Amino acid sequence: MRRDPGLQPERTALAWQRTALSTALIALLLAFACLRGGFLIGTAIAGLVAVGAGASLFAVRRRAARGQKVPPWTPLTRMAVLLIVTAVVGATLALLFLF
Amino acid sequence: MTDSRDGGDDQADADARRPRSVYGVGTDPDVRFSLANERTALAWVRTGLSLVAGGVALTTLAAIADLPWLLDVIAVVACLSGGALAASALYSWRRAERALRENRPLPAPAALPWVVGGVVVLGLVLASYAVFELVGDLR
Repeated sequence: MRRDPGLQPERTALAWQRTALSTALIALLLAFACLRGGFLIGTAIAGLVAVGAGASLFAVRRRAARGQKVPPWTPLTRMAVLLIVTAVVGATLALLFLF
Repeated sequence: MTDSRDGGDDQADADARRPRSVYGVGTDPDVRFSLANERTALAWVRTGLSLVAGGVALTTLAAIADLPWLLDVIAVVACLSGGALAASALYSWRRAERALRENRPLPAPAALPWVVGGVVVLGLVLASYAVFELVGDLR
């Protein structure tokens, strides 16, 4: 796609990334809420949603980076990695407290 | 007209795009219009997501502190209407994209009055609940 003055493809890719990131965040929140309430099936489903949203975040990022010919390892990617690491640590902690 | 200025590698399989009920009618509009339509749908999805987030946060809070049943009801309504808003985002994306392809005027945003009405009702309910509690405390 050609570059145009409105940066339309970039803005659309960013909108996708925002949506995927907030989906992952809210799914993690829901997973922890379900874990607290002892509703483990809900935790599993919400965890799967979070993993799927994280994966699609990276897929969108990579596709957009290929179109713009910039490296995909941007601040947003770093932030997403940070979020995922924090989520894993939090999940481990929650499981430790649970059992 | 749009096929020649697309210049991409995906114009050969333009016919394979889904859903057919959208891409089967009319001609391709300006790429920017389609992208803006997509971003609008994503913004609606994020609005629905924040409603779900509010509902989940309220439920978590209700599990920690002993909150009145009204807040549980509000949490359920927020989660359900967030899901409905995500579905309506898909519906209005298809409607707007079809209108763009057929060069018709865009339809009015269907979800907007419902969202505004819901926020107003929620604000009124919570405000009257706060007043009710305040009066009960003072007495």
